Amino acid sequence: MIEGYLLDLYPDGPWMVLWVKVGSETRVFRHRFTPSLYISPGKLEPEEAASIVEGHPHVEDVSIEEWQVGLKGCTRLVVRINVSEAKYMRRIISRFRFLDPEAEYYYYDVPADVYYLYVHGVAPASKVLIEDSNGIVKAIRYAEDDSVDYDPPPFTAIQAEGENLESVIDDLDPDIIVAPASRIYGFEGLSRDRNRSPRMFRGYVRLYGRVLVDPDKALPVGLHGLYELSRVSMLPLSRAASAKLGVFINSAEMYEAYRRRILIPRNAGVAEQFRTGLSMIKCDRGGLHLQCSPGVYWMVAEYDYVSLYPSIMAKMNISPETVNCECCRRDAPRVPGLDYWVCTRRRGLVSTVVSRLLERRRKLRPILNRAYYYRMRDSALKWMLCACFGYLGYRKARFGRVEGHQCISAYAREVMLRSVEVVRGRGLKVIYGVVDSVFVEGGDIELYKRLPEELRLATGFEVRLENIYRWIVFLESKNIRGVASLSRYYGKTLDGEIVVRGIELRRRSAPMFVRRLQQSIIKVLNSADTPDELYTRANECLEVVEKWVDSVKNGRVRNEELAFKVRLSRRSYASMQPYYKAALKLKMEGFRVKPGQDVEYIFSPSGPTPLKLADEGWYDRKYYAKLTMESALQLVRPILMLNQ
Amino acid sequence: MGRTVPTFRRELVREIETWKIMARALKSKEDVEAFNQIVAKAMELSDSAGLLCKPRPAEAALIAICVALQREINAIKREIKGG
Repeated sequence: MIEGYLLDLYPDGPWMVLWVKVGSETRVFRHRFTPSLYISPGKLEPEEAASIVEGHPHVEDVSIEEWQVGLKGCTRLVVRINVSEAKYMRRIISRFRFLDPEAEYYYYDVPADVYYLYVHGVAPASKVLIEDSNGIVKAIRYAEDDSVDYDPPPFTAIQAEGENLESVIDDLDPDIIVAPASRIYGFEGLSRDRNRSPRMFRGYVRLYGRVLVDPDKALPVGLHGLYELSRVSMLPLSRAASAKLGVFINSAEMYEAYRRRILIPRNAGVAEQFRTGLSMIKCDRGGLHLQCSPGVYWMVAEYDYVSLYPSIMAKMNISPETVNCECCRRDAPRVPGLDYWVCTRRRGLVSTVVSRLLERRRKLRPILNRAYYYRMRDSALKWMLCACFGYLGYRKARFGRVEGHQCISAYAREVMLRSVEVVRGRGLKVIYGVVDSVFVEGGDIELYKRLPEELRLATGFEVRLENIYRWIVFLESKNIRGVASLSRYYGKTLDGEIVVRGIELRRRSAPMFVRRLQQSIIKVLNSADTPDELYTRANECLEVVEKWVDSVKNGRVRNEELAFKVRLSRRSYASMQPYYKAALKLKMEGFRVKPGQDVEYIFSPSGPTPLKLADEGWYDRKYYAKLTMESALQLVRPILMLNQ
Repeated sequence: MGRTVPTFRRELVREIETWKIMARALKSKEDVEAFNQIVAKAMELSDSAGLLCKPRPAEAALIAICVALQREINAIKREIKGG
C-alpha cells in the first residue's frame, strides 16, 4: 500500500494515468479504467438493447443496472456500457439512435477523469491509498474523512517569472506552476509526461503531470482554496484551476446524484410551471428592502444573518425536485406569500450539497485563526455558497429551478419580516433593512447584545451583531429626494472605527482626487462623538472643501488625480458612455483596446478624453469644481440638516 | 428577479406621474403643497406597501398614504393631550 496525494489524472486509451505525490517525489501510476455510458431504452427492452450494443468493437463490457432516471423520475433498468475510450461514446449513441429513437443517454458528457473520481470516490488533492504492482494500480482508496482540518497537500509550487523558464522548471521540478497561460504557452517541456506536450484550449494551457494555475483565470482563493474547492466538488485540480463557480457547483451536485444512483439528463432543467399574471407578481420578487430616511442616527446596531440564503436552502430543503413535488401537494405547508410548497418526505439533492458546504464552513470557524490556509479554505467555500442561490435560478443549470429560486427569496423576506416584528416587540425601531441585514435604533448596548439570540429563536437562522455605531449617516439618493440610497452610508463604531459603504472613496473607478477629499472629510468627522461636535466638524469640513474647489478651479490639480478608471467588459457598447467614448478615442490614435482592460479618462472641454492623450491641466474646470463640491456635500448634507 | 415584473417602486413612480395631471389643475399653492406631501408619503412607505403585491399599484399607495396620515393624526392627538 502506498500513501500519497492525488495531483493530476487524465485518460490514455483504456488507462487512467494518475500522478501521485508520495513523500517528496511525484510518481506516476496507471489504472485500467473505461468510462461508462448509460442508456435508458425507449421502445426496446433493456436485454434487447444490451445484446445489440455488445457486439460493437469499442464496447468493453455491458451490464443491466437499476438507476433512478431523472431527478423526479422513478427507478428503472438501464444499460450500462463500458466504452474503451470516451471518444467512441458519440459513435455508439449515433448508431443506437437508429434502432431506438426514444432512448435517453447519460454520462456521455461527464469527462472521463471526473467520472473516474466519482466511481472510485476519491477526491482530488487529497490523500489516497494505492495498491499496485509495477506502477499498475490494483485498487485505490480515499484515505481521508470529511474533516476540514486536513493537512495541506505537500505539492510544491513556483511562480513562473523571468527567462529560461524550462531550465528553472527542470531544476526545481514543481508540481504546480502559477503563471498566466500566455507566459507558458509555447514551452514544450513543461509537462512531466514526456509523451504529451502542453495543450491549449479556451485560453487555458493543460500540462500533463503538472498543474498550471493561471491567476487571471482561477478564482481568487489561493492554492489552498483551490484544493478545498477541488475536494468538495470532485473536480481534478487541472480543471479546478480554470473553472468558474458554476462548474464547481454542478460537479458537486453531479457527484451527489451519482452517489444516490440518479441519472441526470444533460438538459435536466425542470420546466417552469404555468402561472397566472397575479401569481407572477407575487413570486417574481427579490429580497426585502426597507428604505431609510437620509440623516444621522445615534447608537445604531447592525445585524447580519450568517449565510442566510444558503442556510434557507439547506434548512427548508430547497432543491429542484422538492419544490412543488407531487407527493406533498396536499399536506405540505405553503411557502410564505406564495402558493408553493416544498417536499417534506425526501431530502433534496441540492439542499444536501449546500448543507454539506455550510457544515464545512461551520467546522472551520473555530480554527480560522490557527493558520492562513484555513482562512483560504473558508473563503473558497464562501464563494461557492454565494453562487449556489443564483445558480439555482440559472436557466442553463442542470440543477436549476426558477421556482426554487423564488421560494428562497420568499423565505428570506419572511425572515426579515419576523426580525422586524421581534425588534418592534422590544420597543426598538428598524431604520434600515436590506436582504439579510437590519439596522436597529433605540436600544442600549446590553439589549443590542441580547438581540441576536432572540432573533435566532424567532427565525431559526443565525444572526451576528456586526457593529454598534455611535453615529451613522445615511446618504440621500441621487435620483429621488427624501429617500436614502441603497447601501450608501458611513458611520463610527463604538470602537472608534469608521465604516464606509457604497461611497466613491470605496470605488476604484472614482477619481483619486474625489476619494482623497472624502477620506479627509471622514477623518475630520471621526473625532466627533456628540451631535453638537458632529455639526461643528461638518461646518469645518465646508471650509476645507472650498480650498479643494479653488485648487480645481485654478487648474492646480494634476490630470491623473482627476482620472476616472473603468474596466471594459465588452468590445462595443450600445450607449455612448464616457468611458466608451474615451476608449474609441484611444483606438483612433492607434492604441489597442480590449475587454478586461482599464480605460482611464478625464473630462476635458472637448468631452471625455483618455488620460494618455490629454494635455496636463487641460480639464473641464467647471465640471470638476461641481463634482468636487457635490461629492463633499453629499457626505455632510445630512449632518447639516441636524439643526433644522 | 424584477426582470419580468418591474419593482414596486418603479411602478409607483409611474403611477404617481399619472396623478400629476391633477396637480396642474389645483387652484391654490396650498393645494399643490398638500398634493406633494401626499406623494412624498406614498413614496416614504413604498417599501412596506410593496409587500402587498397588488396588480394596481395605486391600491397599495392609497393604503400607505392612509397609514402615514393616521400616524400624523395620532401625533397631533398626543400633542394636544400632552399640551
